[in-house]
Amino acid sequence: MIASEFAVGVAALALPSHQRARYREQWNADLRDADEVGLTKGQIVRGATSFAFGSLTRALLRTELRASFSWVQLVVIAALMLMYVYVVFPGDGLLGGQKTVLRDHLDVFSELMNTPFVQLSPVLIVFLSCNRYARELGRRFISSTRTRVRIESYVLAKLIIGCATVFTVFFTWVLLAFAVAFALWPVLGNPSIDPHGYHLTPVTAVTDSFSRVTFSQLLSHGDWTYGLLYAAWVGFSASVYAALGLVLLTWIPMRPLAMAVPFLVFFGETVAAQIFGLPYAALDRSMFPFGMQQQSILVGVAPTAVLALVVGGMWLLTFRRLVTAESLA
Amino acid sequence: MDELQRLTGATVDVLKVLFGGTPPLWGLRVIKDSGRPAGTVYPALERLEEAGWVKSWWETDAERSGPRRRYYELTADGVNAAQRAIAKFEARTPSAARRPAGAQS
Repeated sequence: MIASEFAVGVAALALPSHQRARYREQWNADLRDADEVGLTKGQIVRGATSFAFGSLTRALLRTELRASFSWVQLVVIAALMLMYVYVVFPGDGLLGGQKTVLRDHLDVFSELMNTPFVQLSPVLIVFLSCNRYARELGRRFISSTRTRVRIESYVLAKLIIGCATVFTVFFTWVLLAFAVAFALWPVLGNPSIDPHGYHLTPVTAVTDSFSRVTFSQLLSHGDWTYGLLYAAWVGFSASVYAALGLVLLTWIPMRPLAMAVPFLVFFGETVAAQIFGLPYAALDRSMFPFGMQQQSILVGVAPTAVLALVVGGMWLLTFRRLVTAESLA
Repeated sequence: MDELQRLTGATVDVLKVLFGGTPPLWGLRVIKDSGRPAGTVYPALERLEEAGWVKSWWETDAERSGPRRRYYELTADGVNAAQRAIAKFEARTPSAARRPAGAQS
């Protein structure tokens, strides 16, 4: 099956069940015959996707977005953003300029990212993305909503809002750390940075940073290229764990267990990778590669990409069988 | 047959193609001839079909294997309604703002 056929097949899953077979066949015929009328397959795929996901009304997404946040969640997000204060400020941190000697801004960025929080990030991801869905399942809220809103639309809205929320939070979190390290640090006079302590000059430290950690290869294309792409990668990875939590909540009756699984997968796979002597295959290093020898970007993304494929497959199966989910009955 | 809740330029372009083209027209031909993106034409056809202005059916060409094309045609009532809708739309829209069907977006 070629990619465009797969894409319209996925788009069809977002349609009401009685329309799926019809549009899947119609779009596949359109893909086959697109050349005949001078249209591209991309135009057909975009049209199918737009039509299918347009069946999710904007109003439903707005409602979900408004209802998905609580003050507790906002406080947790604020705490995450302020975590750098713990690392940066004097007494315990880098601004003191006494305890740590760093080569350059990438080292500052690594210090900001290498916190104990990294290991617990799936817990926060699930908290931000799955909490409301879990509560609604518990109250059988969805059963009563189902009469007014198509269940596929409702669950898809949960998935979109959950993934978008954690993507935004983690993207911002990483980009904030990057801005502190690469933009604020020079303004502060580069405290704690002394490349000579590593037998480097400021110039050679820059070239050295290109081969220091996975993804830092991107620094050769510019600081912000690295910052933006790495932040987007962390955001995407966080979305994968959110999607995993949401799909498991749909099928596992024990909601605390379902919400714990993303963390167990993250932690368990990381431990297993270490035991087998494959640290670069660990999920935590795929997301936060600091402190490990540089791998190619392909190797770096592989563990999370495999997980993303598995979670994507789980969601495809879920949309095919959503009406049979007992949690939504 | 139901009235359309809203009549957009894209819907009118689709109606013009269905009205002026040689039936039966398959969906891809409507996209091409209307000059509208597929993401606009598919929903417009769906709305028109739901409202009873348009009917659709699968092709029965035995020589072509694989997925079947979906053909569209105005219903008898849809022909009259389309004429009225196009005239009404063009009357209320300044000529400069109208785009001929087939104009690329």
